Amino acid sequence: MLIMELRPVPPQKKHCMNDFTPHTRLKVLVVDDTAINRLVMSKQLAGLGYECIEATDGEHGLAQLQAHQPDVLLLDLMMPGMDGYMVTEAIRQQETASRLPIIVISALEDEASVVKALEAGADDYLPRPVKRAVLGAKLNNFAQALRARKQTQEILDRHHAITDNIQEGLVTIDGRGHIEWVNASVSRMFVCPAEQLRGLVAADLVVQAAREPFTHALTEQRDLGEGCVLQSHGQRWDGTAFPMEVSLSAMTLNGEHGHVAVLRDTTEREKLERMKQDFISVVNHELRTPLTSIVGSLALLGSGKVGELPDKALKMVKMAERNTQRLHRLINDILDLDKIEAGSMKFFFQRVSAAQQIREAVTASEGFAAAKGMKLVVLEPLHDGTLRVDPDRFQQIMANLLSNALKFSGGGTTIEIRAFAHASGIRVGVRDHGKGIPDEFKSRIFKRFAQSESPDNRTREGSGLGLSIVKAIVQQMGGEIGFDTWPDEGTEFHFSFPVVNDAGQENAS
Amino acid sequence: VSELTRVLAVEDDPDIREVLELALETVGDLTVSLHGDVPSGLAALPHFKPDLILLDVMLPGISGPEALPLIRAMDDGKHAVIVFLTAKARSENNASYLALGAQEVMLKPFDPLTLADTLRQVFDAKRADVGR
Repeated sequence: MLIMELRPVPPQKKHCMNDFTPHTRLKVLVVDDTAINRLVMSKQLAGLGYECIEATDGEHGLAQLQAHQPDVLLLDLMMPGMDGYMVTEAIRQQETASRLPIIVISALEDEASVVKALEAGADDYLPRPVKRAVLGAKLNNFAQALRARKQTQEILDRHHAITDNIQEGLVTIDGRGHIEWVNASVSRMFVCPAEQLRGLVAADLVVQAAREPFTHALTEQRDLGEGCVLQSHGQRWDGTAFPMEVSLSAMTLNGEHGHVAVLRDTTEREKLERMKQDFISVVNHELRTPLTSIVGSLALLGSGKVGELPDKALKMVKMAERNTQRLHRLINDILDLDKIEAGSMKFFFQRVSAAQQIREAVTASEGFAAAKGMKLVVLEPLHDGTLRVDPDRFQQIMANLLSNALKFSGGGTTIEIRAFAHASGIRVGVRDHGKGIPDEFKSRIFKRFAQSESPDNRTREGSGLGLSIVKAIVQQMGGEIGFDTWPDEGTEFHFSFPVVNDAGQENAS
Repeated sequence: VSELTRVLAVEDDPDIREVLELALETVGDLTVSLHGDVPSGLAALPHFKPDLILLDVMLPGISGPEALPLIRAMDDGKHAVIVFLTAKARSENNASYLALGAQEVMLKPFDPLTLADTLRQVFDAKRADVGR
């Protein structure tokens, strides 16, 4: 049974992706108080394929900067009022444009003013008169650097967009077990600002009792490099605890070994799981109670003990009886499946004789076989030995395999049951003479709700749960299960369990 | 031949009580005293003097497992073979019921045609355990 967990997503700050592409035409802002200089420059830029924005003095330059957000600034140094040095300094103090590439242009072949401009924060300079080829080469360099920067920014933005919006908490842990970085979800989960979490011992994220296993998992992972999942309890900043699943993976960053942990708050999941368990337990009892009186009254009616029924009525009663049994099996299957999923199926292991168990199971299914006009044949001698299994569950395995064999072979045929010594202990085989298992169905046969879909099988009863349950039971009791099949000649399902010696230890015979 | 003759059954579902009556009395030829709850069952104990008590697990008020020590504390309940009849699937709780002092745990739904025979077998196998 699979229950999807739906949780409302809390409103979160959205990071937008940068829409920059490397082929966008670069915008160049030209700040120069001389109209003729601006005209020359704008023509050169147009010829080089750049977009040009103009400003007539320092203040105008800063205003244009705000309005157009250019990619590069070409700045005249000598201007009345706010000169090039002042513009440069003002820009470098801004938050948004502090990294804007600035190329200063000076008519003077004056090293001192160039140095002064570079010290004020300019990136480069061009001597006037500006040569078109030199301007082109310089702008090209800046354009390339700009593209690289925007790409890096885009990667960073993407990283933030993912990590800040993801539901799961992400934590990177350094080689000494300290928290390096956390995403926004971790802050929400632990009700604590990210800055306060950084540098803490990662094991402090879980409750006291869970710290040792957490640290152990980190150490083991560092040594073995394998990922693992821990069901743990997180501890919020205020000391309260919540159920949490931790997936730990090893990672290497800048040559340093560390870990990345994915944290999930499982409060809701556990609540749902408990609700499901309660529901199943109630359903179990509430279904069985009415079933008890239905099964009982039908059996009494059918037996004639409470009065003889006319033939037609008896036929209907038998039909109702058959279908009630089917319902009963289905309820049992669903409960078993739930237990297998929850890992809560209990086994009451006992030392039993394999041959005795097999004979008991065959006897129990003889009635069903006879009703189908078929025979169960035990191939003698049955190999015997002591097995350590839950006898009820052993009977369940046999009953399932026998009823499957009876269902999937034609009337008048026999089902053969054998037991023999095998490398894995004692192997029990149940062989039918049906059509065999189609190739395309072989890989799904032990899967849940698997039923062969050929048209002649449509009428066969069954939930398709039986073999998946049988497989789980065999495996959980330490055995193996498989099958051999031959087209048009039938199938043998077989399972094996190790033989135990007198001291109770297992040995393969 | 089994000496089981008198069965006292406590079951809250009236339909199941009717099936029990037919299964034990009509089919099984036993003398039966049927009750819908524990107090009424306990009240009938001294004069009915059952050989075997068939006890539902989930009952309104006092449950089957809660009734067990009360039965054992009564003179006429000390030596009765006690069998639980439960709708809870499979053997998970069986061990705990047996540990309480019951002799057997049976599952619902049961087969009314074989129920009396099964109880006779349980009685013969377990009567020594309760000093009969």
